[in-house]
Amino acid sequence: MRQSQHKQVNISLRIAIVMAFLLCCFVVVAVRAFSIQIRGAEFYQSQGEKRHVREVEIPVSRGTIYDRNGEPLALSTAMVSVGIVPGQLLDQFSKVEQLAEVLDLDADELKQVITSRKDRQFLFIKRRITPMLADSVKALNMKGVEFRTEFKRFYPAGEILANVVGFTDVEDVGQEGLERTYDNWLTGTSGKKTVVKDLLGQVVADIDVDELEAAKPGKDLHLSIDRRLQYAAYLALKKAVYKHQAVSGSAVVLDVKTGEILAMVNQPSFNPNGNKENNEGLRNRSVTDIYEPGSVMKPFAVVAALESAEYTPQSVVNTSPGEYEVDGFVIHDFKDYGELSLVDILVKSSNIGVAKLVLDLGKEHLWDVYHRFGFGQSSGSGFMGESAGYLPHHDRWRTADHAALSRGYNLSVTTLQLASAYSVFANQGRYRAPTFIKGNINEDKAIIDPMIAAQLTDMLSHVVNDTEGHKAFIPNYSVAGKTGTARIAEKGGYSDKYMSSFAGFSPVESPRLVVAVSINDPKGEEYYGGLVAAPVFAEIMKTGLRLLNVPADQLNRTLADVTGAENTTGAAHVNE
Amino acid sequence: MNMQSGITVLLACVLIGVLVSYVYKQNETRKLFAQTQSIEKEKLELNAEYARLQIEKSTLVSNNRIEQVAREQLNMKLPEDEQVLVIVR
Repeated sequence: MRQSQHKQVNISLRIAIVMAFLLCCFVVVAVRAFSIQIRGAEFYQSQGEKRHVREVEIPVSRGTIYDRNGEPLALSTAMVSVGIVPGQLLDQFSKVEQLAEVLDLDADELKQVITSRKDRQFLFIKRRITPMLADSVKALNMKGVEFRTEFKRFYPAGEILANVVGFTDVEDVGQEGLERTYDNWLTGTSGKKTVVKDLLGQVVADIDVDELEAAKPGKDLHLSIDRRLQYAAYLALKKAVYKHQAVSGSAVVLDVKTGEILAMVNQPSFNPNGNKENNEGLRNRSVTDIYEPGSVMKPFAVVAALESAEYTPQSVVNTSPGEYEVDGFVIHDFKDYGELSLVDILVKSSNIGVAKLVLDLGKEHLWDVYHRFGFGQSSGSGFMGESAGYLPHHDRWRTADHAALSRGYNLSVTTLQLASAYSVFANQGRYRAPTFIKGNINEDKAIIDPMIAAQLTDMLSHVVNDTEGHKAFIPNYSVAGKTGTARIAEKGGYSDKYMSSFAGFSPVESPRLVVAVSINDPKGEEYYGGLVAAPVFAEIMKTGLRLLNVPADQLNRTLADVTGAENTTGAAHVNE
Repeated sequence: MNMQSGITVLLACVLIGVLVSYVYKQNETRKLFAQTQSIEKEKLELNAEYARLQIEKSTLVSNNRIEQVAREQLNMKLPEDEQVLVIVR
C-alpha cells in the first residue's frame, strides 16, 4: 500500500516530466516550422522553384527573302547548337572523349576548356550542327550536355546575288547588303515562357506565357529581283569581265514602269554560304562604287541645250577642226567631224559639240539639269551603304570644269544612278526612285518636259541605229542608249585605265527595261564602252525582254518572209 | 444531432470527391500538356524539314543546274538570233 502510494506520486511526477519534454519538443518543432514556413518561406520557395521551374526561350527564325516570283534567296533552317555545363563534366572525361569525336573537336582542348572554365554555367562548344548529328550526340546520354535550337542562314542563289542580299553573322544579325538594310524587318523576337520540369527534365506544365514576351517570328521580304534575269545578267557580266580581264564590273536592270530593280549584278562576287574573307567581292558595287562616267553623261548636257529653247535636235554646231581650246585646256574629238546636228553630236559622241552647247548656257543650268536627274544625291533605294556620288556645286566650277562636266568628267556616279537617270527618258521625263522591294513603288515626279524626253529617246535610238554593227543592237527590238569610255583618274592625273559603260533602254516606243553596265579597267586593245559594255547590255536586254514577254517592235525578219520563201502554199496561218 | 452528423458525413464525401476529381483533372492536364509538347516538337521538326526541302528544291531548280542538264543531258541550246522567228498578229 505504501509502496503503491509511493508509486503513484512517482507516476504523476514522471508524467509531468514527459509532458514537459514533449512540450519542449513541440516548441522546438513549432519554432523551426515558423522559421522555415514563415521567415524562410521566400528562400525555400525560390530554391524549390529553381529545381523545377525554368524560364525557357522560344526560338524564332529570321524571315525568308524571296525573289519576285517566290523563289527563296535567303532562308533559315533550324539547327542544333551543343553547349556544356563544365562543372558537371569534370568526372566523366572518358565520355568527353567520345563527345569530342562525334563533334569532330580536339579532345585535349575540350578537356582543358572544361577544367579551366569549370565555374561557367553554360558555354557553346559547337554551333549549328545538323539535327542528325545532334541525335548521335544525344545518344551518348551525357549529363551536363545541353542542346539549343539555332538557325542557320542559307543562300540558294549563291554568288549570283551575294553582294546584293548580303549575309548575317553567327548571331543572325545582318552584316551586309539587304540583310543589313532590312535587319529589323527580318529579325524576329524570341519569346520566353515559364515552365515546370519534372525530375527527368521533361516540361510538365506551362505556368506563365507572358504576352509581352511572346515569340514573334521575323517577317518575310519579297524583293523586286527576278532570279532568272539576275542569273542571265550575272553570266553576261562575268563573261565580259573575264574576257577583258577587267578589275570589276556592275550592271543594273530597272523596270521602267515601276522603278523596281529586276537585276543587279557585280563582279567580283563571293560565296555567301562559304567563308567571307574575300573583301573585294563583298561590296555591292552598283550602289557603293562611284566613278567618272564619261560620254554616257552627254545626253543630259543635250537636255540642258534643248531646255534653253535655243536649240532643236536639228540645230547645227561646228566642231571643226577637231580641237577646241577652253580656258587653257584643249578638248579633242576622235577626228574633225565638221558641222554636226545635236543628234550627230550624240551619235559621234563629240566632246567639242557638247562643250560648245553647254558653255553658252551658264553653269547653273547644267548643274540644275544634272541635279534634277539625281546625280550627286542618293538614289532613294534605301540600300545601306549607298553612295550619293559627287556633283560639285556650280559656284566652284571654272570654265574648264564646265566643259569637262558636259562630257562626264569632274563628277562621279554609281551604276544605279545612271540607270535611274536614263529611265527618265524612258518614262516620259519623270524620275522615279528605284526600289529593291516588290510592289513598293516610289512616287515619280516630272523633272523634264515630256517633249524633250521624247526627243532624247529618238536621238538615243539614232546612236544605236546609225552606227554600223553597234554592239548594243538586239534582233527584233529597237534600242536607245549611249556608250561611255572614261579615263580613270589616279594620283597625279588621268591614267591609261578606262571605265567602259553603256546605258540604254528598249523597246524605244514604249520602253520596258533600262539597263546600265559599267566595266572597270578592261585590259587589251578593246576598251571602248561600245566594244566592252555594249555587248553585255545587249545580252542582258535580250534575255530580259524575252523573260518579260515584251512584244518585238522592230521586225527584221518575220515568219512570213521565211514561209513565203520556203513554203509557197501554206502561208495562210501566218500573219493572222 | 443526427442531422448535424449527416451533414458532416455529406460534406466529407463531397470534399473527398472534389479532391479526387482535382487529382484526376491534374493528371488529365499533364497528359494533354505532354501531348501538346510532342505536337509542338513535331511542328518544329516539320518546319525544319520544310526548310531543308526548300533548300533542296532551290538547289535542284538552280539556273546553273537547269542549264547544265539542258545542255548536257537533253542536248538543248539557245537558238541563234537567225533561228528566232517572230509571229505578228
